[in-house]
Amino acid sequence: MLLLRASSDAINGQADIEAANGGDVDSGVKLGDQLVSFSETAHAGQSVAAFQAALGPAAFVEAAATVAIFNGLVRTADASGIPLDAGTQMATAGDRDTLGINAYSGAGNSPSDAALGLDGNAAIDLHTAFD
Amino acid sequence: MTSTAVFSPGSFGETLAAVIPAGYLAAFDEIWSHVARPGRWFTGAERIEIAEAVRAATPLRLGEQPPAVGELTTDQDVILDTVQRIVTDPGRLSREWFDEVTGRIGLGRYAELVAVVVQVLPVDRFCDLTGRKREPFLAPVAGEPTGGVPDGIADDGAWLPMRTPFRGPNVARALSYVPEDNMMRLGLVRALYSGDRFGDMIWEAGALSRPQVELVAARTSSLNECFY
Repeated sequence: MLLLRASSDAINGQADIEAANGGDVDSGVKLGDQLVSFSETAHAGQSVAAFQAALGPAAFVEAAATVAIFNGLVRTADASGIPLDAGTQMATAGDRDTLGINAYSGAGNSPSDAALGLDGNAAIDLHTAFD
Repeated sequence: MTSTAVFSPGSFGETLAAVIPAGYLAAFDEIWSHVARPGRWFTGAERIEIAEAVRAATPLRLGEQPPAVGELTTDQDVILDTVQRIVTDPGRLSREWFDEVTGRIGLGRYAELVAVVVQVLPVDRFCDLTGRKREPFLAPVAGEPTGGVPDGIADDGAWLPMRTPFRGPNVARALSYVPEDNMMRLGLVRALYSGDRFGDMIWEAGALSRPQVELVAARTSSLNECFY
């Protein structure tokens, strides 16, 4: 979510991070509806072949690669119990609250935002966000 | 490190064969060869058993509960149940469960088990999504696990001890308890996602812009209820 916002900002885009939760949200990203629907269809274990026409073959392959590798990354994070990186936690406190992410069980692996005195998204240098 | 050529562009069909990056296939081949070799804690045959268990994992039916770790009789039962849980319901893993599992099979085998899961599953998932058949695993390479906890590993706030100190996202060192596997799965991450441009917010080389990639990533993480 941090990288969705940051990469959108970098091109003066208007990405709405609430699209991460699906539903009737305009992501503000080109082909966003198709990409969200692709992700949801993939997660449901259904065929995504129909998306090839709308996305084009190359984008279709990249979307498939992203879904595939993030299915590995979420399991890496959840099974190893890693806490959020300090910079990410500071930069996303408001967003996590908005999106309901703090209710996920993995939240217990990081100190609470309240304990760190975090309220809302702090502006951070992305180059140090993951240190 | 040598790898056996298993994945070819042609197997993805004519349309996709023209656009599948060669780097994807090279990474898949390396993973397939690596998974069949002895690791730090498992033999090649045991790693292939774990890889097969990834494929055999099926979500529980509504209302069905997984067995308690204490009810599982053998270490093999614990290993297979752990694979099942990580594949089908990663958002419900807990510290208490982790402590029970690693109390039975140890930190090393747990870390390597997770590493095999997160190398195999993305490759299979990519094949499924692109309509390609899954590849059989390679025959296991004979040999004993090398064993040993690498230097520089310490408790740094995660369930698993990690390489410390470290500059970079925690997810990059999450499985540094098994560094050879961690390096291999990070190679897959670079091939399928970030390349060498993770810190760049503008990607111009691919068909998708970075916000488009991150939207797919964010939705996929949310669907898996991943806090990280």
